[in-house]
Parts: sequence; structure tokens; C-alpha cells
Amino acid sequence: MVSLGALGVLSTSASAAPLAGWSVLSGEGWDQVVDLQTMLLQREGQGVAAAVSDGIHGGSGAWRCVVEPSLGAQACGIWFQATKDLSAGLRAELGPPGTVGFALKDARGEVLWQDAWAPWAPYQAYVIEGIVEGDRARVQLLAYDKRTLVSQSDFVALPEGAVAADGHLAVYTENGIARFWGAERADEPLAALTEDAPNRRRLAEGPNPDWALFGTGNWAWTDATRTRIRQSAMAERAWAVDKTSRATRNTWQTWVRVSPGAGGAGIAFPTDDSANGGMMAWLGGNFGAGGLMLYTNSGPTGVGEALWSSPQDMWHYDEDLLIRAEAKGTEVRIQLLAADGTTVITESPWIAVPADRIGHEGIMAFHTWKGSAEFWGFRQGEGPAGPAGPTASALGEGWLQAGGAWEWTDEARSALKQSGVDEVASCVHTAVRAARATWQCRVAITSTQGGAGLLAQVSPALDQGFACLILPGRAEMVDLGQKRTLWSADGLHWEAGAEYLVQAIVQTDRVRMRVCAADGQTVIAESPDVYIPDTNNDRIGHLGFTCRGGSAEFSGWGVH
Amino acid sequence: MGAVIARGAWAQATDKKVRIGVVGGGFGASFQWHLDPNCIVAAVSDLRTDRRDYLTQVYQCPTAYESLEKLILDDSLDAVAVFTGAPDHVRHCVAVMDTGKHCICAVPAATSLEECEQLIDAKVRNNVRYMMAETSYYRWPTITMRELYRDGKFGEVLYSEVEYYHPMNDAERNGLWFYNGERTWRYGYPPMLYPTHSTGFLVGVTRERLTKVSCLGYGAPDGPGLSDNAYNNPYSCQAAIFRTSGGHICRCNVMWAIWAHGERAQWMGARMSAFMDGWAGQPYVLKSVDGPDVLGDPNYFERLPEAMRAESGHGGSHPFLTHEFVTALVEDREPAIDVYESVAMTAPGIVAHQSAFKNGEQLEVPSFDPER
Ligand SMILES: NC(=O)c1ccc[n+]([C@@H]2O[C@H](COP(=O)([O-])OP(=O)(O)OC[C@H]3O[C@@H](n4cnc5c(N)ncnc54)[C@H](O)[C@@H]3O)[C@@H](O)[C@H]2O)c1
Repeated sequence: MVSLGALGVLSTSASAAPLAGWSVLSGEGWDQVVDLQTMLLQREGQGVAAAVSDGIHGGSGAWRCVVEPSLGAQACGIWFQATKDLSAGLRAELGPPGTVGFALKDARGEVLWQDAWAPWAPYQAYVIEGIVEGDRARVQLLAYDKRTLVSQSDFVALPEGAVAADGHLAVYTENGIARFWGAERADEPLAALTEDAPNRRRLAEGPNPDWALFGTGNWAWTDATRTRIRQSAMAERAWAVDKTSRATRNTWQTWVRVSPGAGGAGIAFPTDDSANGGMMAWLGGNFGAGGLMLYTNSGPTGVGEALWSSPQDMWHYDEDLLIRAEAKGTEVRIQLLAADGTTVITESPWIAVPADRIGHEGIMAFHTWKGSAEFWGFRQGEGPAGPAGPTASALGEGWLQAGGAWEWTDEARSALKQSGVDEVASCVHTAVRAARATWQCRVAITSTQGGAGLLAQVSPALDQGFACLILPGRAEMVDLGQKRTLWSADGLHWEAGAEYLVQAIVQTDRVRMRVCAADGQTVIAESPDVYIPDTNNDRIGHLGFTCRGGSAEFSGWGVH
Repeated sequence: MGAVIARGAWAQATDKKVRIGVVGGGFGASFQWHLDPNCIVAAVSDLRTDRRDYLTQVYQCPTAYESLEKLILDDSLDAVAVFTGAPDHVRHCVAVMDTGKHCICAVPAATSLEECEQLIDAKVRNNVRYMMAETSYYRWPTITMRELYRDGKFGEVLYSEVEYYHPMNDAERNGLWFYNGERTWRYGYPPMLYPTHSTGFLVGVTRERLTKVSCLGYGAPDGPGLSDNAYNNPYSCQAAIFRTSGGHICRCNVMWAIWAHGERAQWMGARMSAFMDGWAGQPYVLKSVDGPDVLGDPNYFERLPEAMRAESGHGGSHPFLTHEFVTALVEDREPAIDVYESVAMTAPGIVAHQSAFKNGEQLEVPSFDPER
């Protein structure tokens, strides 16, 4: 077999001076490797291993390093403002969830502060930062971008002699392999102290008056408004019980948005504090294209009995959907509604359920399976919170709009117009669903000062998909997901009131825009094939229209 | 953000700039050369004017040449990115390297064993760097697998399943197989001459070599492009079983005609297995005898300069390939996918294609590695 030593260029390029600038204090198997970044690798994974930087030292400031723990590491992190023998100084440490999480420790290993459930994953890089300011210190954990906070402590008062007057930075592991790079000391921390740190928003594990959590999820409010919760861990099963929702009620509902990759999400109602009892309305089945299901709820450890399931392909990733459950006596009906909050995508009949499952006081629980989802609007009593993004359109069922004044121009509903002057006015026809295909519409723009075009493979929230635009003097194709112009061509001559055919040709890994004259044959502008992220290949999107600062008429739309 | 007072000894920023010429305005326009702090796109080229214009737009580079042959005469260039059609790769790369320039090329590295030889020869003769832009190498699950393997956490990869499926509807096939009514190089192209998206998943993780192969081919007698293509290729689907230099087994598929999609691998060892997420909804999961499932696929953007952390095609791999080639030149080292790794991902498919013609007879894959 191939030995690890034979890995060639990637592991040996700096071997002449294996740890230039670093002194090994303990542990075998320290190495410097290059894999896009030059990094320090502790590859032995046995006992305590520490290496101290010769050049990074000082008496205050923000000390930081990128740390990438491997699988099964017991602990890894940085020492900051430490004596070179590590007899004094502070440690910011990542360790197993529940016992360490993310912690600030002194030189003897005493825990000064801890976020035991700070979420981290093996082989994911984090920035660990320790900040010393006079006789106090704090630590924080950030994502790779050096902006997104994961966890943050308050300032902790330091006893005399806790840090060195001219201390050093060191990196270390305990029974673990880890990679380190980008170590530095700066005069300012990467993030200021904030009331809104994610650990303060987390629906914490352990005793909590408002929430009870089960499984290995990472549940948190998405922002300081505390209106929307997200389970963000790729966890097998995760439960959050909203203990403040205790009531005897007949209707339960929540907005939900299932993240790509997840297996399913849903609500249990009415449950007890341990998420047992009651029923469950569940978005499951095919990943990303599944059905709505009604189960008896067996809580975090059991599997309930399936009573009803809709056909598949009812829910999809990144769609804002409303789950509603209603009880009448001992019968239950569940519904799945579209982003407009009124269009029923699918619903069960009224189904008789065991009498002890319904009609009593209880609470609502949120559940995810194999992935992430967001829930909101569940604290609004019986009425849902307004949907994000586009809202129901005057065009009728299945149509959403964001801005503008949209109306049909004929009885047969084969043409429509937008007459507002909004900077951007868009509408989406959610009944048209496709991924790789040729998307098209005909458009006649009222004035050459304005612009208009086709929306292809777009999400209801208009945060994914492509806009193919005819604008004053040019054609342009925009990726709404990346918020990026993919292609534009100046010198496009078009006439106000004349009809043009606009097409978006979405193929594997590529998209192309084409504008033809009314005959549908004469090409007046065409982009080359533009490579796009492969996440588009199978992403189901909708067709729509958009106006830019003026009115236009649309007809002849379709996908083939 | 405040000033950095001291940095670790390794973090030596450099303002060296690699001057690169980019050829091929299709796939070649989807890389991040212009966003790499150590790179300048100094020239572009495509035979097609629309694509040439597009390249100047994407890379904001006004210097455009009518052809690769003209571009390589520009002595201000350090390196050339060759994103032309597969059958031209070796001819174009050899021409580039013969002018003393470094070369990065789209996959596959070559389409015959003789071409593999010529490619290595040109790289060695001219003492320049060569890299193949294999996207599977920098898909994020592959990076995780590489680290798990190197860290000794995975153990040996006893068995792997690596595959690349690219079905085409009529519109897509017409778009790719014809341009202006003429056939493109893709018309009837043999699957196993495009093996690197699959083989890259194993060679790119363990650096094992694929040493023996038995391959079967399938092609419907009236399948599109199969009766009259430039390659005398009767197959639209090929499946190979490889023996590796470590004594392990690799099942490798490349198929155009089945309704399955994407580039994907499953790596299996005695105590751990890793499953990439897939088109049919398979989630990413690491399964281990010793611990719970790991479901989250790490994000490796931290390894890139901030400006390059853009969503891109092929599992987010494009900026990683871009940056690895640029930093290899700046650091004067061989890139991660050097000419030997590139050929080790390419040659096994060429031999697999020969095996398919012999109804699966097991054939030896020659080694192109230097004697160590
Ligand atoms: N995932 C991946 O790694 C991946 C994906 C797509 C394509 N590719 C590879 O990238 C390469 C390009 O793919 P594509 O889809 O853009 O192919 P393509 O055939 O559409 O484009 C090749 C371009 O090269 C130009 N060209 C050919 N000879 C030239 C010359 N002498 N001078 C200047 N320009 C010349 C052509 O005009 C053409 O525009 C192919 O080799 C393909 O195999 C790899």
C-alpha cells in the first residue's frame, strides 16, 4: 500500500526547516505542509502537543489563529499571552460538545468561561481569538470568513499573573490531529462584544424555561428580533420544544423553509415537555421533492405511525412554505400552503386519530431530520406571519409579485402587463416548474427608457435563478443567487412597443441568453454559454417577468 | 479592522504576479484568475470572436489574440491556461511549454498513451510546471477525504466507487455536439477518454496508481453519434474495475446515456466509509465504526484569498484550482495535480477504453511515473 510518507509535494515542501519560527514544546509529529495554504500540522494525535511562536509576542491585543480540528480531537486551540514554557497564559480551546465546546481556560486548566454547546465540525476551519485588555480577557470563535461569530465570551477578570507581561502565542492539541495557520497578533479584535452573539441567541441545551432541546441539533434565533429559529447542524434528528406555546388549541401552524440537503422537517402538536404525544405534520419522503405526511408523534426516540401521505414533489428546498394543522373533535387535517399563505399545495382529508392524541393542553415542537430548516411565524397565535419576499399577486392563484401593478390583458389569461414605474417590479408564476430547459417569453416594452425581461428558474423569494433583461441600449443576464451579472452586451437596438422573444437556455453547468425579433428566428443578441454553479442543475425553479423602471407586456411564455 | 502587529513565520505575503494567458472562452471563462491577488490575466484568446469578446469582458483584459498559436508568442506571459477541446490538449500544451511557459490545462490531460508520453516529455524538457484542472480534486468532500486519509483516520481505501454521469436531452446534445452546423469534438466522444472526474476521486485522495483494468462498454446500435464519429467509438456508457497499486479495488463509471447525473464517489475502508452527496438525493455522510455519523460537509473557503471565495461550478472547485496553480508558480513548486498525477488520472481511462473493445479483457496500465 501507499505509505503516508509518499504523499509527495503536499507534505514536504517546507521540510528543510520544518517549523521555522516555531518552537516545539511537546508532542511528536509536528510538520509544516502546503495545501493551498502553508500550515502547521500536528499529525501524531497522541497526548499533549504544543508549539510556541517565536515571533508572535506582546503584552496585550487580539491573538488569533485559524484552527482546523480533525475527527475525534479531544481538544485543540491556542495559548495566548503565555510564557514560553506555558506556565502562565490563557487558552482558548475547542473540545467535545457538552464537556468543552468552546472554553477559556487558565494555565492550570481551570475553566474561566465556557460555551459547552458551541457548534463546530471536524475538518472545518475556525478562527479562534483571545483578547487581553489590561487585567481582563475574553475569547471568541469565528467562522472561516473572520466575520461570522460562532461564539463569544464576556470579559473575564484575570487574577494577578494569569498572563505574561510579554507573552507568546502557541498552538496545541490533546490527543488529536489539527491544522493551524494564519496565526497573528493584532491591535483590534475581529469582532466587538455584542449582545447578539450567536451563543446568546442559541436555544441553549440544559435547563431553560422557554425551550427544551433533544438530539444533536444546533437551534438558534436567526437574528436579534428573535422571530425565526433555525436548526443549522447536519444532525440526524433534532427537536426543539417551544414551552411558551402551552395552550389548548385547534390550529397549529408555522412557516418553514427546508435547507438543501436536509431529509425533512415538521411540527409535532400538542406535545409534552419531552416532545412526546400528539400528532406530527411532516415534510418528508423524497429529499428536496417530497410529500406532506401525518404521523402519530412518538417523540425523540420512537417512530410514529403514518396515517396519511400526499404525493411526492410537494415541497422543495429553500421554499417558504406554511404547514397548518387543524383539529375538529378527534379528527385532524393538515395542509401545506405556498409562499402567498393562501394557495393550498396539498392537504389531507379529515382523519380520525386516537382520542388521547388531540384536544388536550400541549405545546408545539419543531423537528428536523438529516439537516437544516428554519421555522417562523409560530408565535403569532392562529394567524401566520407575513411571508418573506414576494406576496400573492392580483394575477391570481399561483402568482406572486414583488412590486409593480400587474394585470391580465385578456380573458384567456394569455398575456399580462405591468404598468407601474417601480425600479424593479417582478412577478413569478409558481405553477411553472422546471430546472434545465429552455425558458422563454415574449415582451414588448413601452419605452426605451425602461427595461424588462424574463425570469428563469427563479425561486419564489427571487433569491435564486436568472434574469434575462432587455435594457436601454443593452442586453444583460444576471444570476440572482450570486447577485452577479453573468454577461452583458452593449449596442442592442430595440424599439419601444415592438415584441421580442427572450430565452434562457439552462443546461448542465451552463446558461445562455438569447433575444430574437418577433418572428422568433432572427437573433438580435445572444450570450455565449456561461458556466454557472452546478447547484443549478437540478434546482427546480419557476418562470417570471420583471420590469425595470417602466411598463411592459408579456405573452407567449413557456418552458420546454 | 485594526493593524496586525505580528504574523506567524509562514505567512509571507508576496506581491509577485503571475501573468497568465487564457485560451478558450467556454469553460475557460469560469475561473477566477482575475480575482487571485497574485495573478493578472494579461491576454486571452479564442478562435470564436463572441467567446474572445466574452473572455475580455470576464477577465477585464483588453489584449486578445486570434488564436493560441499567436498568444503563446507573447513573451510577457508566464503561463497559459488551455481550455480548448479535449483532442487538442496535448498539441496545445506542448506548444505552450515549448515556448518556456507554464501550463494549466482542462481535463483530460491526453487522449492516447503516446500523448501522455509527449506531455511529460515536454514538461521535463522545458523544465516548466504543468497542472491539469481536475475539478473532482477540489470538490469539498474530496478535500475532507484527502485529509482524513493523510491523518490516518480513514485507514486504507479498500474499495471505491467513482463515477461521472452526464446525460443530455436533444437540445443540450445539439448545443454541445454542433456549432454552426459543424460537429464539435464532443460528437461521439468516448466516455473512458474522459475518465479524470472519476479517477480523480481516488488518485487525488490516496495517490495510488490504477494498475490493471477490465472495462465493459455499452452503446445502443442506433445511439446518437455512435456510428460515425471521429473516434470510431461505439460506446455511450463504460464501466471499469481497476486494481490499484495498493492492491485495492476501484469501480469506475463514465456514462452519457443513462438518466443519472453528476460526479460522485464513495470511499470504503475497514472502519470508515465516506459517501458524497448525490444527484438522486443521497446526502453526504461519513460513517465510522468508532463514532456517530458526521453529516456536515466542511467549507474550505478559508484556504482561499477572500476575493476568490466565490460560488463556482463543479462542487465549488474552480477558485481552488485557480489558486493552487498560481501559488505553485509563486512558490516555485510543483502544483498539487502535477503532470504525473494528471497522467495517473488519465491513462487508466485510455487503457479501459481498449479493454472495452476486447470485451473486458484485463489489461495492464503502464506507469508514467519517474523512477524514484
Ligand atoms: N469539470 C470540468 O473539469 C470540465 C467541464 C467542462 C469542460 N471541461 C473541459 O474544458 C475544455 C473546454 O470545454 P468547453 O465546454 O468550453 O469546450 P468548447 O469546445 O465549447 O470550447 C473550446 C474553445 O476553445 C477554442 N479554441 C480551440 N482551438 C483554439 C486555438 N487554437 N486558439 C484559440 N482558441 C481555440 C474554441 O474556439 C472553443 O471556443 C474541454 O477540454 C473540456 O473537456 C472540463
